[in-house]
Amino acid sequence: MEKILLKNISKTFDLATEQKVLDNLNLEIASGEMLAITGVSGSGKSTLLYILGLLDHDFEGEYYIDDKSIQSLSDKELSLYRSKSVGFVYQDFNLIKELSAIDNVAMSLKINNLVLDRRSRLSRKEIYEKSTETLEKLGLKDHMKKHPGQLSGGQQQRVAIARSIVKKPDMILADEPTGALDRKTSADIMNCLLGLNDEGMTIIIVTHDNEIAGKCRRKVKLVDGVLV
Amino acid sequence: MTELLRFFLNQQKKRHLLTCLQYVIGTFAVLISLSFSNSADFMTRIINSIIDPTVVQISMTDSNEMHKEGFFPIMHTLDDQIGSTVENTGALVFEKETCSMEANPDNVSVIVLNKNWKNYSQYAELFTGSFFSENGAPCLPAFIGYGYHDLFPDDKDTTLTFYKEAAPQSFIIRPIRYLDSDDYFFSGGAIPVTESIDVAQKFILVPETDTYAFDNSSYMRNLLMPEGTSKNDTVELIRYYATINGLSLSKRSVESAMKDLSDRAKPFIIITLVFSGLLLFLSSIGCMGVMLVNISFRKKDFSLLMSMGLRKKTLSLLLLMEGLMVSVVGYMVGVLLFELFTLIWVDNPLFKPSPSAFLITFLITSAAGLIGEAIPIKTVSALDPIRIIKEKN
Repeated sequence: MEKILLKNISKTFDLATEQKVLDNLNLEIASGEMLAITGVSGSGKSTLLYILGLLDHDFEGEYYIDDKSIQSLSDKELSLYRSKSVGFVYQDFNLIKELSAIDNVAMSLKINNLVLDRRSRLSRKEIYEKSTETLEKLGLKDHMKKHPGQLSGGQQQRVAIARSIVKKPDMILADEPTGALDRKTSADIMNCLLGLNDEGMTIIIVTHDNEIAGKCRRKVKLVDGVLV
Repeated sequence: MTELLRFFLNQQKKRHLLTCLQYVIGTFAVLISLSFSNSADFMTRIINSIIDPTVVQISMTDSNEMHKEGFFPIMHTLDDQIGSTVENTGALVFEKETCSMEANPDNVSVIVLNKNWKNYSQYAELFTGSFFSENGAPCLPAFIGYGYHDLFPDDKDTTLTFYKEAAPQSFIIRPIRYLDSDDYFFSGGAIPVTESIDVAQKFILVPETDTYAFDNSSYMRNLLMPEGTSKNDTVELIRYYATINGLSLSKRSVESAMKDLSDRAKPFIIITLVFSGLLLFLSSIGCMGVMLVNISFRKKDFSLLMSMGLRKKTLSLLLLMEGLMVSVVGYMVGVLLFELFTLIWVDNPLFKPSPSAFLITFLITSAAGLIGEAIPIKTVSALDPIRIIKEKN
């Protein structure tokens, strides 16, 4: 992925009141950027994140990835793109509690397998090798068999990051990734994300924490659905 | 897909187990129902395929005498035949339609079986469902048949296990050895489906041989039927012996007899079918409820999987497969339970549905499962992953 371009993006939640969550928003994100989208609660930053992540495609305006309009993509193509190119990290980690850390990470690749053509699919062995490798990279070598309930908040978020990066996506979209963590752990997680950005991964973080936003290489602010 | 299916099946195990249990009950109920209703099926088959039996009706004129000694004395005379040879056997069967051990029978049916019927199942089928207790419930089949020689070690009387517990005082099976054969001709009684033995079925066997089994004190003599005796002559001879023993005999067609049996079986069949249909419907509703709960508990996980790229269509397909697997396992366990039930409690090889009934049951169970899953799966397609992901844990 080279470039993301949002042109005149608007989104209205309540059609009756025509209250716009995003209002005529324009944004260009280059590959390898580390962007923070800041704003108060309700400013539309999460909505923007989900639009960027192709999870929400019910909006007005134009969205281009490498000059290709995503509005022209079918549901299947959107899923394929989301599966291959986008990794989400959430505030509440959102790990599947019945699965161990390694299974949570592997799940991402298993879903990826469903959208890949037969030749590109990974074997079960390869899936677990890649998952192990990613967890080790994030310092979770000794916690791979543990379930989310047995891990600390910071460890869970690392697993969530591992889950999002194991498939080597073009970009990671993080929605308040440190919102549920203490200061020290938040710093660790940010270092982790910065490290990934150093490796060339595009990272977009939604946060209302200026300190976290300050660590990003670029910042934009949303106020009432408008970039300022 | 397999990996994901495995994950889906491992999630919410208890709820899957509950759904599975509902399928088990549904399958079991349908199989039981079809076993009963199979009697209607076999009647049709009898009429269509079995060689022209003549069914005659006997009215007892001396019921007190009949009651005093019943048919047992006649059966006992079969002792004389042990060790003797029987070349070929036709059978005359008396069914006391409504009698209990204490009641005086006013009517008994006599069915003359064609001597060419050497197949046990043909006899068995004839009798399955043809006996009814006073309240109209069908009895388990009485039987007259061939084979089962290993049931009679040392040529001694034996009691078939599946009758033993239900009617220990009654139906001892008496073997008669065939000439140059290890096979036996044997007779047995019928028991009501209900556990109480308030109905007794009695039989008299009249071998068409030149060996005499019955003495003059019996109500029926053994019939000496030369080889090649026509059916009409046989009936005439039966009528003769019936008359001299105070019985009157009138002939009626097999169709009429079968219709009569079928009419009597109908209400019971309808009741069992309605009952099992209701049970399946409830199972289906139950499955739907469990599936809805099951899905609502996993909505967040589904949303996450979607954010990772899982399509709603694939998710619905996975849930359908998950539901089908649960229903298939439920069906298999239900069949196993049914087999165990019939083996341990009914223990009668004749109490079984036709082979196609298993397929029908599978289709019915799957259909109930699909109905039960349709609405829950529809809720998946309406999932809003963004809203669900945003919800706090």
